[in-house]
Amino acid sequence: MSRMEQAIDELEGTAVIARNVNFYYGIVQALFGVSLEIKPKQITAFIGPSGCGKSTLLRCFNRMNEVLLGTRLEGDILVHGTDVYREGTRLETLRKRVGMVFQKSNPFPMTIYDNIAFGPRMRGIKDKSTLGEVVERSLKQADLWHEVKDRLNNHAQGLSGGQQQRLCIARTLANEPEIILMDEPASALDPISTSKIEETIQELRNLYTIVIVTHNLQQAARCSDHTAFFYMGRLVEMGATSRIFQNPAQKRTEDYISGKFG
Amino acid sequence: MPHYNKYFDQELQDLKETVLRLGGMVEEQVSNAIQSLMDSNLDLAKSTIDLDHAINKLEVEIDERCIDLLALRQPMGPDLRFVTTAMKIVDNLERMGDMAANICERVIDIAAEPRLKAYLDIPRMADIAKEMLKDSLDAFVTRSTELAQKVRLKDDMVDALMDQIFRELLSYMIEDPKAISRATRIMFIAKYIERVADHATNISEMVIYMVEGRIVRHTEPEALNLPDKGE
Repeated sequence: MSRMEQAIDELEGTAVIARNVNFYYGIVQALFGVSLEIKPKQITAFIGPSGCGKSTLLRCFNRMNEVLLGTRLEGDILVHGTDVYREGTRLETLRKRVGMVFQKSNPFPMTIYDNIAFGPRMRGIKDKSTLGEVVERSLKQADLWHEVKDRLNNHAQGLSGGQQQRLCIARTLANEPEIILMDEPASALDPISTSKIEETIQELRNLYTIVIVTHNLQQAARCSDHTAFFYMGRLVEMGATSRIFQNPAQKRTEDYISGKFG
Repeated sequence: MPHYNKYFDQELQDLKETVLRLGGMVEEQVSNAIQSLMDSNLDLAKSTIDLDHAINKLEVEIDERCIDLLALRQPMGPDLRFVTTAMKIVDNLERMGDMAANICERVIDIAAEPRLKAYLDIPRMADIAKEMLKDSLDAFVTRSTELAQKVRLKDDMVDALMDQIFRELLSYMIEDPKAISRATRIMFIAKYIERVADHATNISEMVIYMVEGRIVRHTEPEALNLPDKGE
């Protein structure tokens, strides 16, 4: 997509559009007619009980679900106006545009530097100084630079859990994605590392479109602009985060955020 | 509908009951203050002043409990609105308690002097203010925005009576400068009662926020037309 097209798309106010999405794992339907829009350069949180479809929808955005056999999608997913399920879509290109950070940090078994430089090298960047710039910028954006700048050639697995997760964020940023998907990025971390990740997410606001799946309601409340609540494969309600957590429109949302059953 | 954590349910219920207990105490204080004025009953006035500290104490206790709930339970949605509303309600109740004590102080001040005719429309105004207090607490318990709106509408009546009392007292003072000392204190009392009505109005406005999530303070009372929550 050209800069101009992207600019027009941003003016129109959507980074991702899901239109009437049904998703199946074999014969099990996981999403039922989900339609929503993700605003560009803002943070959107997906919340809902286990099995509600929030991670499934997230993985539809960069077709990560397809690594599983027997999955099927109906409906449209548009990323900045492009139908990502159109035939001929190159998955590598898509996943560069739509990066992902997982629940468990998964640094490659190589040095800190090589982890970050991996994506750019795959894209053919060989120039040392260019790579160095990308590594530094990505680590700075992920708020990790000051902690690792003196040991870039150390093995990444020597970092703490929280640092490893920020390394994975930096590795995603090095690919200059348009959208970053985060699936429970802080659920395995201690409160301090969690705060660091949340701070990082907030700092990336205005630079990237971020969609975060979280079970931690306070986390969704703290760091997102918009919140979407899913229940049993359906989108129940989506709106400004402050409204969703203070005065949701739907009874189901209200019960979920206040920890009620029935 | 219960929470997954039954202790949280219990804490919210306890909080509600304690707010009501404070409400009951304040209602009684306001009633006694008016009674002491009507009967020139100095003993009642003094005992009412003495009881104010119990209200202050309970107010602080409820405040601490709300802060605990916010810190430890991190309530969301309707629970968040309930706890923050409770905090504001007790603040208003405590101020009403102060007003009752202030009325009693003025009752003691004017006791030594001859009574200034009848107390004009003060009993009427006090009746309305007490009713507003009672209704605002009922609205809180029953989550009735309708009742809360009625309380808001009544505040205008109290304000109108206050204006009338002010004009009448002013004419007394012009006619008879010796009455200025008494009339001024009566004017204070009228003002305290009017403040009680204002605090009851505040409570009602918070009840509307608690139930509907809408902040209606500093707006004119209006008819309510909100869509029902879908299932």
